[in-house]
Amino acid sequence: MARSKIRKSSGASVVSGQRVTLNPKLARRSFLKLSAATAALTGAAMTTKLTGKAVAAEKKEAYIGSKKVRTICTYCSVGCGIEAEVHNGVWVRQEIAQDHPVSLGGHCCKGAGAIDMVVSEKRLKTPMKRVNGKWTSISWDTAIDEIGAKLLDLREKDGPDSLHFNGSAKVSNEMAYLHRKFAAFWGTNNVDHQARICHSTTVAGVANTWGYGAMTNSLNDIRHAKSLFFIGSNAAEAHPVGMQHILHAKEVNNAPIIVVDPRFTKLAAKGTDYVRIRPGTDVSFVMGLINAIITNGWEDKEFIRTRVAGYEEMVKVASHYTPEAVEDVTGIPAAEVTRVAHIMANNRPSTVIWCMGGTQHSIGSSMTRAFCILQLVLGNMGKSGGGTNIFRGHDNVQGATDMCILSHSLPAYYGLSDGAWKHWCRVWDVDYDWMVGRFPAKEWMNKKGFTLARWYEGVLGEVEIESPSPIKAMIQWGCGSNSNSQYNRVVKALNMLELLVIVDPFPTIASAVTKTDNVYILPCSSQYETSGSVTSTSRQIQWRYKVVDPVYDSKDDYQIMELLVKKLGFADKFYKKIKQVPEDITLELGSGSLTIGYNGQTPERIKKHMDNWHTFDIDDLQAKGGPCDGEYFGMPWPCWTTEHPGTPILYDVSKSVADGGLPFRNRFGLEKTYDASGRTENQLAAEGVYNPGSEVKGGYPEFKDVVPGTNWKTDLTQKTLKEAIARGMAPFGNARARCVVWNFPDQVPIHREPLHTPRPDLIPKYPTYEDKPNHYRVHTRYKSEQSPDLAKEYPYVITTGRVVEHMGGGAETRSNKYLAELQPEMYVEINPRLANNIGIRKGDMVIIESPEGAKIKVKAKITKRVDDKTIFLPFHFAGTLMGESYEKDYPDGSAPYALGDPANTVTNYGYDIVTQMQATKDGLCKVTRA
Amino acid sequence: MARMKFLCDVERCIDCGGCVVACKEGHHVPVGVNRRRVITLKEGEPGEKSISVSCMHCADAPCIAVCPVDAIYQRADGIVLVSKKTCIGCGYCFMACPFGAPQFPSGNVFGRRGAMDKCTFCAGGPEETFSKEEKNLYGQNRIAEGKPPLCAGMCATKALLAGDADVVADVYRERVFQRGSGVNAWGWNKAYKKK
Amino acid sequence: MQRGILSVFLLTIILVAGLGVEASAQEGLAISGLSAGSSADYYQMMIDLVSGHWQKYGQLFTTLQGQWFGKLFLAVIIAIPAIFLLHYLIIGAKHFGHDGEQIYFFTLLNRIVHVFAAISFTLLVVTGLLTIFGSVFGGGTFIRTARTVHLVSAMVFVFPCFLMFIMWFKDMLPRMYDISWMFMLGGYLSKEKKPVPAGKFNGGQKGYFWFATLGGAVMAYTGFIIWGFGADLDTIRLYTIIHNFLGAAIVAFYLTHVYMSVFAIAGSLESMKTGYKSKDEVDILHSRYDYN
Repeated sequence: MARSKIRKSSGASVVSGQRVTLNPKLARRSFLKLSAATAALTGAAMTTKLTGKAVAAEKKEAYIGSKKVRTICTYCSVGCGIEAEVHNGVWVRQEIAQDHPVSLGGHCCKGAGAIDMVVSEKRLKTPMKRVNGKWTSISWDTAIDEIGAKLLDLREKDGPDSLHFNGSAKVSNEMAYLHRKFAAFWGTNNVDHQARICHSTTVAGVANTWGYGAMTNSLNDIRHAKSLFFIGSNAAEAHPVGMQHILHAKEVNNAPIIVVDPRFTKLAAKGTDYVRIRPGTDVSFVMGLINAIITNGWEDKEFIRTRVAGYEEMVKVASHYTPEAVEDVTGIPAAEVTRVAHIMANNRPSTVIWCMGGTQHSIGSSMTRAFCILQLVLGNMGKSGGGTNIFRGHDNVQGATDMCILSHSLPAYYGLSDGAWKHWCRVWDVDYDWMVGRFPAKEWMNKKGFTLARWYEGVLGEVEIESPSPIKAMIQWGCGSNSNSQYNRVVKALNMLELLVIVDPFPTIASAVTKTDNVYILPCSSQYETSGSVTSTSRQIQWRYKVVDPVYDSKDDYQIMELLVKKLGFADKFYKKIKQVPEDITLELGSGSLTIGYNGQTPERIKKHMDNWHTFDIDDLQAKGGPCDGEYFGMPWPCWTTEHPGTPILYDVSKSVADGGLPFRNRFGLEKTYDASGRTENQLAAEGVYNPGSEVKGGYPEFKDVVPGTNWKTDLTQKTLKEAIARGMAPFGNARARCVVWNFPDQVPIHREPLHTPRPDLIPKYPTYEDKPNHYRVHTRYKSEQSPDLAKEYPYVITTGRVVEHMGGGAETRSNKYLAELQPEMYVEINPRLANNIGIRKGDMVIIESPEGAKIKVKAKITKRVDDKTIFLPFHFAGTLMGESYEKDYPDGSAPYALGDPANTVTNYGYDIVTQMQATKDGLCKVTRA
Repeated sequence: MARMKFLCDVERCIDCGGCVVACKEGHHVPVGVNRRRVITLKEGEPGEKSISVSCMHCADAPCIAVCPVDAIYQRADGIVLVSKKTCIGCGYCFMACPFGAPQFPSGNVFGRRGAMDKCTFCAGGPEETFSKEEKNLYGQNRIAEGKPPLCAGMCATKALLAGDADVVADVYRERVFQRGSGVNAWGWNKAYKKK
Repeated sequence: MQRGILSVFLLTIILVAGLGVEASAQEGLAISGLSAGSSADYYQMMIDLVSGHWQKYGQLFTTLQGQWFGKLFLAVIIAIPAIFLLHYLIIGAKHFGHDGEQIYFFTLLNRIVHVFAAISFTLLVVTGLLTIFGSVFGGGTFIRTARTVHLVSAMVFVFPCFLMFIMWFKDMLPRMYDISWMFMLGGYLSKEKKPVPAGKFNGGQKGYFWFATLGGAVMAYTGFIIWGFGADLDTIRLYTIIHNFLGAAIVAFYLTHVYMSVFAIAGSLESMKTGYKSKDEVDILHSRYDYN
């Protein structure tokens, strides 16, 4: 009967302005074609043979004369492709970018709404200044004049270190590079960005193990994994599009997915094994795994003999982590430790993946090293399907880290030594002595600056700081402030600044929590309104083409930087080698970033890869034919020369260096006598370990003096690099990965209880460090902070994390009406048992209080995701506090759709001993009904 | 004759909401109207599964049967569409639909329901193809352009399949086959494997 | 038809997830690989979750609305007028002398209330029928307006309905002689003017009264809930079913009432205008009414 109501569709369509009525037969044929095409598209992920175009012939256009612009999503580091359809200068819609070799057209909810970055009504429209407590529109000229005058005045009075510059992982590589360069030219090391509180402990721990601190393989390479070990990563929410490769490994290779997390996450729902761990005890568990592997004889003996250093010393430490000891510390049953070790040993290569759950701890830099050692012991390094796949967060946090918007290094990890400064002065073509003169004194050039994690201590003056000047002004460029732990103290500091400049497309919470005048907002365009290169988590460099011109009265990053630099009076030196923006910047940063091989990826090459997405094989990311034949997608760094294909898998000795192979990097000398054992060991790789075609058939040191007085890192002519490649060798030498990092406080990773621990009984056995003065200019408490009594009053562990709908501080995503609709309010996850014990029901408002005395009021979500000792908070919200709304304090009409109490108000004190990473994943709190 | 269908592979859906926003952003669907949504069962527990749901473009569609004004009709390719100009917003289709697909933006008189809105399989509506009117009322007409629906095209993990029923079935069949003997089934290793 | 209903229900499984079953059936080995529940199972669970117990009233509603309600109303609006037409032709209207003694039958308040009730009720019936047969009129603005008028009329009708209930409550209470009135069908099948057993209101009027007031209340309440989707889906389905059945009954009564007052008893309409009925008429049709 329903069938009798079937009616023909109108069947009318417009073909080049002429109305044509399709007859049913014709329509049927085109549907047939289309349907085959759609299915081909949807099946592409599973069956590589079906990568055909979805768009069948005979297509008609909805927007006649529109053009398609390829660009890269600005949310996370997966680096999904976006095809923007532009009609008469307006971005009209997003098309499916099915040719992109990583995302294959996929998007999460954020990327699917990428267009909202440009069309959102919440975008800032003009420069603004707070006058007598009210936001007032001003012109660009006035804004730059006033900001510049104030900065120069402060420089005169208090010196350059009175400014702190928080740069961004949301800008292009070129802009990130300019951020760091700006700080250098201004004469301060007070420059930092989100990587400090994201993967700084990873970079430190991993680079100190084998040379580079980045993800070793790629998202696509996970397709070859035989088992996957996730620890402190919730990829299903944080890297959703990467999940297609993960699920491919699960489905096609039958690879077990082991998820180690305090929460039963959405990723755990897709896993095969879930291990609930007590927050902050990752080292104990992983060292326990290593111990179980070794005691059962499952280690890769040959790999260890030839490519690993400090193994014996490490084994000795690991032997303390028996399954029973691990059970006591982590809460994971002893049998489970052995079982997980067995799964990984039986399913090689296995890949280890971690995110913020493995980094944001006071011992974060030990945790990341423990993960690396696990892979060394299993012999999974330098192999397809293996590696440490460290998923980064922001879309360009890998690139911004590589460009070192960091207070402890110049671009490309050169550090702050005199040699590093001289190298970069040569690249910039400025006089080294002039550069020295920009600083208060030469010694401050070599000393680390304040970090993003604790810059506010430089304002507040409540703890001992060692700096030539307190911080009085700050530039917050593409950086939300509510990602900082102890956020209430950040707010206090923001209100004490003499000058605060916020550069962002959307008003960050910093604009609403400040009540003072002398706060400026400069409306920056989104990354879709400018161009430049971005580095994805897989080290691939992609070109973000400009989709549309900056909307409203906003300017793109480059324009704003130029205005500022001109006003501050060093434009001639700053832009000496830069004529065409951004391509000249790409070339300049490449010419100096030799350590990490950013020199081979010229703008032309990067754009060529963007234009030929479809020629790359999604299984190994190598172009099969076409203009990029033989190259790996995005030329993953290091890409040593303009002919080099990029390095898809780091430390892979099965390929020649010229084809993207590499050994471990020789970075830590030729031999070492260990403190613990007195044993002396050669740090170079053993005989027989070399890349095909290598002149030396074993370990060798890094290249130097090819051009006298220089080494591979400082030879700007790049002759050294070319010679090394020609001889089949890696410019950085061929060494062993080390298990003992003698420049760290813990030479071999050991467990130390979090500063605020729910297990005070474990403090005597696993105490934290001694207090550390002058830790990035700030006195940092460890031992004096670790009180056994704290857990009595603050019994629950607080941990934070991502939700898929939002990103970072949430200024962008909470301003997207659809994302705000999907995830509209702040909440706390509480286990039903805990909720019943403390009298909380679903939807009740609860108060969370930190040991520092800060409080938030949020809605209770009762769920079994967390256990009854832990609560979870998403950290994206801001805009209210304890029932008070800051909506009125945003510039008119620009407050985000979704507001909530910032989780980081109640995250605890605690910082990593090496990098000052904030410890937001293992604090304590009190929970009461509001 | 091609028969359009959706299929959501529950083993792959990760509840990322990509399909939901792709649809809303692509068709400018008002906030509060969900042509597609993701439902999660057993959240936070072993066995948690998510499914993306929208109008399924049923074969013998109950909504068509109950519509008092015959506003809903089915095209020859199986796509079920509504004429918003004919629809009176009575809500009977919502009562008949097993998937909760029909949506009703609030109208302007006495809280009257506006015309029913639902997934169009990205095939627009009865108005002239690519006309302004069609775009305003129903969003894009991607099928007429020879393009797949946005939700399935943008699915992060390729959980959501859309297209000709036979081809969709083939893709799914291949996956089921590849998934093999159940070693990777949740908890099996733990529960059934001997030490 | 039963098969049709069944297929409507089963298509939820067959349609999508059924593919998996199909796949499994063809590849016997692979079927065990579909580990933690098939798509079919999950769709079934999800259906329960999203749309409540589809099996409880959803199927019933779909069947009734899809196939029966339209026919039911069509039968009512064709059959009842047809019967009355026959009645009119064969038996004809009853005529009473209007020149004789007049009895003050309806007070002014009675009449005002009745006018309001009559107008709003008529609108309700007409717009309700328009909605039910919306497809005949092509839906769209016309029927949308009819629905709005239906709502407004309902809100208006509630007041006179309530007042009628109060003012005629006592007179409308059933009596024994109403039963005999029923048995003789109010004497309408006879051309004779023989006193029929009825008080101020006869059995038919009483039945109509109770249907219109109590039934009207039920109609108003269910309608209100349906309008605003103010309950869970399954309740709404049940209410819609009730609203339609009750509606059909009320329409039947309404048509009868209209026929009686306009055609069957010549001049009967006058009494609602003036308030007076002829003594002649009252003595015959309301023989038990004590107007003294």
